[in-house]
Amino acid sequence: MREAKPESLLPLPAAVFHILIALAESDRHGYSILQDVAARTDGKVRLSAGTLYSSIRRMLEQGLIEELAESPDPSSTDERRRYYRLTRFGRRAAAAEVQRINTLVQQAHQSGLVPGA
Amino acid sequence: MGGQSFYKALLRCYPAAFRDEYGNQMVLMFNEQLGEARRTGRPVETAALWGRAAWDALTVAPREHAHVIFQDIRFSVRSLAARPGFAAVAVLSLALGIGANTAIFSLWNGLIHSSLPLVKHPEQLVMLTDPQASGMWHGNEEGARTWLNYPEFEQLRDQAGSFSAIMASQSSLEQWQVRYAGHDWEEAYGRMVSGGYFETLGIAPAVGRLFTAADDHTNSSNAVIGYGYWQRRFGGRAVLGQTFTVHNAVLTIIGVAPRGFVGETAGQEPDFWLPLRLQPSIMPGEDLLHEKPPEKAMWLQVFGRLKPGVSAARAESEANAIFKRGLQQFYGGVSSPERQHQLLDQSLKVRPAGRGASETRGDFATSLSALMAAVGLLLLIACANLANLLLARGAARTPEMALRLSLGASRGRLIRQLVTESLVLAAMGGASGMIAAWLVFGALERMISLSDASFRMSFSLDPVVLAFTVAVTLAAGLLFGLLPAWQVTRTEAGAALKEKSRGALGSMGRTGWGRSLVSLQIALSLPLLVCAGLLARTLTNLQHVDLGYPTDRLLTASISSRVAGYDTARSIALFSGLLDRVRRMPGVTAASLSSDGLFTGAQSSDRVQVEGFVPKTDKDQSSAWDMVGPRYFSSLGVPILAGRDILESDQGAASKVCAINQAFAKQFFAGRNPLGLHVSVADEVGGRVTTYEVVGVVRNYRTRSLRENVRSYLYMPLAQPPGDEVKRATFLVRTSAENPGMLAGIRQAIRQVDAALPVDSAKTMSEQLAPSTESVRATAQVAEVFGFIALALAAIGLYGVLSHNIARRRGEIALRIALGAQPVSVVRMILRETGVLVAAGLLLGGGLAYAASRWIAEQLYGISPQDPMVGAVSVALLLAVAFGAVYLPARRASRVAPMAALRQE
Repeated sequence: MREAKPESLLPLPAAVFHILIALAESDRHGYSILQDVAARTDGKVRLSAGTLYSSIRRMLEQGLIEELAESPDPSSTDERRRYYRLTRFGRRAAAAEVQRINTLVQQAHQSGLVPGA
Repeated sequence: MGGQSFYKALLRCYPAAFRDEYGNQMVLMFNEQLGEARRTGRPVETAALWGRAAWDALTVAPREHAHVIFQDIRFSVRSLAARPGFAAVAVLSLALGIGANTAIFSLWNGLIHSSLPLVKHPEQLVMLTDPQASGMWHGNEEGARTWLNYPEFEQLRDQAGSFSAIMASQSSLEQWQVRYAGHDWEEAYGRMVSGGYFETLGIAPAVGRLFTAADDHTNSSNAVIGYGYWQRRFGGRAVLGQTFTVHNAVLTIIGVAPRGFVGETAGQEPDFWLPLRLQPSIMPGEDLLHEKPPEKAMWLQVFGRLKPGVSAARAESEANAIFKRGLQQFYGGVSSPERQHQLLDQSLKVRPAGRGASETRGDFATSLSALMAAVGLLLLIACANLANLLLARGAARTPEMALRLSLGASRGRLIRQLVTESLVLAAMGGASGMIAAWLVFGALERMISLSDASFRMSFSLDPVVLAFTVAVTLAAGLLFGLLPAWQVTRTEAGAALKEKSRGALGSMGRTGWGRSLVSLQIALSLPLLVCAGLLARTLTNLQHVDLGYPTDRLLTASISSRVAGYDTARSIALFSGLLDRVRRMPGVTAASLSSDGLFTGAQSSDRVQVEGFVPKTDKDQSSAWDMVGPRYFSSLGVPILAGRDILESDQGAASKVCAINQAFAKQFFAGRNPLGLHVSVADEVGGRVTTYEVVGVVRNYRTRSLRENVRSYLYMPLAQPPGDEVKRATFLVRTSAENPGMLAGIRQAIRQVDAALPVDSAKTMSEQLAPSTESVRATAQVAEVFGFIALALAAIGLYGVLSHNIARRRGEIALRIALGAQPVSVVRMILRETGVLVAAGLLLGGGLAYAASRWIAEQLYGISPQDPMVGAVSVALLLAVAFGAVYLPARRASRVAPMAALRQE
């Protein structure tokens, strides 16, 4: 799967895209991803635990993210937490998704569907 | 904490693997979210959180399960693709097994089990006639009525109150020559039915309209065509108002029956239906609509739909009351009170008719059940074989399984993976099985239509058949998958790893199952082989039955003169002229004719009075008879034992003479010289008596059945018939060389005399005889094919288990050889062990074969079901194949190089 083209994963499900964005800045554990997504969207997108870990399971298999062997935060006391990091492949997939959305937006403007910038 | 344990309970909805991986994280996260929600102080936040968790359990969890299943399937496909040989053998044998089962089940379902297609409320339908009979009977019957005649049907239709609708249909499907304007004559299958036909069955038209009660009263010339015929003949184009000709009737198409409707008889699909009222113009020369004492022409099936709340018993007693009144009127004039009493002893029997009528059903019910059992066995063998191969393979995978178990995979997970593999195999087998089913069904349909030309049934994957196939596929997958999965994962992680590392001496315990399966396969193959052998011998015996005359260079052609409008006197003249014409044809060495022909299915029989013979019972007086042309016996090649042949001079006003066969002489003359004595044929009701002087005795010869004893036969000249009886003739033409091409010449000669004369059939004698052996031939072929497949499968199974066993025991064998055992003694040891398996299989198989051979005993001819020769050959064949399968692995074992093998272990 790691050798697949990022385009083969498009369009990315909304939850997956949100998780990629949350992991772009720093490595995070699950709950931190959740909080980041909620904060970014003013609380409009609230991922549930099931959706989050189902997405993480899939993203790990697809090679979009990887799990860290140990906590990146030496001050963290909770060893139970598992941290995730964006891979290069994940970054390329996100870029491809942005490209896809951009093209769509342009087309919407050009066709007059939406008043254009 | 209550909330946490409840959330943990919700997590049970997810697959175990997912739970193991992320469960703790999810609980952790949920607790944090819960705390956060509570801190807001709004209970609605807490409720929303629980709602999302529940929603996850309903939506995300099933997706995760699907993911696991999909993964298992992908893994299975990959692991099968790595062993294409095994996969191909497995899929092929399953396809064959499932396909054959589906095809035969489909046939069984259509013919024997399921209700008539499209018919409304089939449970309300009853028949007043015999569902398994088709044809026509001129004469009188006693006991339960087979068919009714038209006036009897009319009486029931007009008087019976138990039925909401009642209808009659011609009991046999007729093959007619039809002609559309601007086209040549073509063949089509049709059936005459009463006006209430479609209403009684509850059928609505696809196009146009159907018959109504009015079609029983007016001489309408309406025709309704079948959907299949509409598509085939007309490509589904507009047909209403089209006209076509059948004999003397010009018919107009008024409607098309709905798609899938076959009528009232299972396994037949008429091209069109015509009103019964048109019978005189469709069968010219014969009026079957009115009674003509002293005989009844019975030819109709009668169906009724019971009114709600009316029981079959009540309908039966009412119908019988009406029927009896009709009989009393009809037989009122019979002079002998005793005979009248006999003739009045007739009744109607009401039977459920939801499955419709079918002659084929009775003929093939036994064969089909036998076939179902045979293909069921075949599938079992295929399953046993696959289980065996999987066991052998599973044993090879034991270390892998042990490793996965020790790494923490649950046993359930491994079983699930292994069973998924089997189910994937089964699904591939099932899908290919559909194609196999379609092919096998076509072959079976052709096989049945050889003995019943009007049989037509198409393979349809109706829900019942589809459910059957899916069920069989699933059952097969579980059957051959579960056991090996159970066995393989039973291993204790540590033990198996140790065993591998130590190179333990092979213990046979693990493969005990595989060995039993090999014995079982041998046991299952034996009955198939024995049946195939018995049926093959039966076929040979039947093909070499002495008919009493040579069948080579013999052609037959049947003509119905009555249909073309000839009465008896004109028919006699016609046949005499035709015979002269045929005899003059170049290449014809002899020719004659008879009324009932050879193996046409027709037979006439009556009570006879024989000079000097005193009957002990009523049955004693019955004899078959046939009317024959001049020089009949010498033309056919039947030896005349005493007296002379029927001659040209035996006609008209000349003194009436007859010939008899040996059986007749034995039954009625018992030791007396029959020549010169007299035989009378009496018309039962009219009392007309025709007396013949016996001028010849001929050797018994077969005209009807290859198996039954030849009955007593009386042969009178066609030119001196016992009444108004001459309506048809079968010409028998002996040619100087085998020349089927001459049939066309004979047809042409007939057309030259009268173009309107319908030739019912023109065949070589071997074609004429084929249907008599076809059923046995087909069953034998099927048993042979299945027998050999079973044998091949048994060989594969034996080979698989043995090579696996020997591979496992390499260490032990090497040790034996190292300790001084001779290679030959190793081979002997393996043969001895195999011998035990084979002997156990043969013992069980012998019992099964005995049961199976008794079951098919009825089909056998000239051979005992326990024929020792067939048994011995089957056993020898099995032994040869079994030891062939063992030979290679045994040789491999004997060549084990001790040091290399031990080092490797």
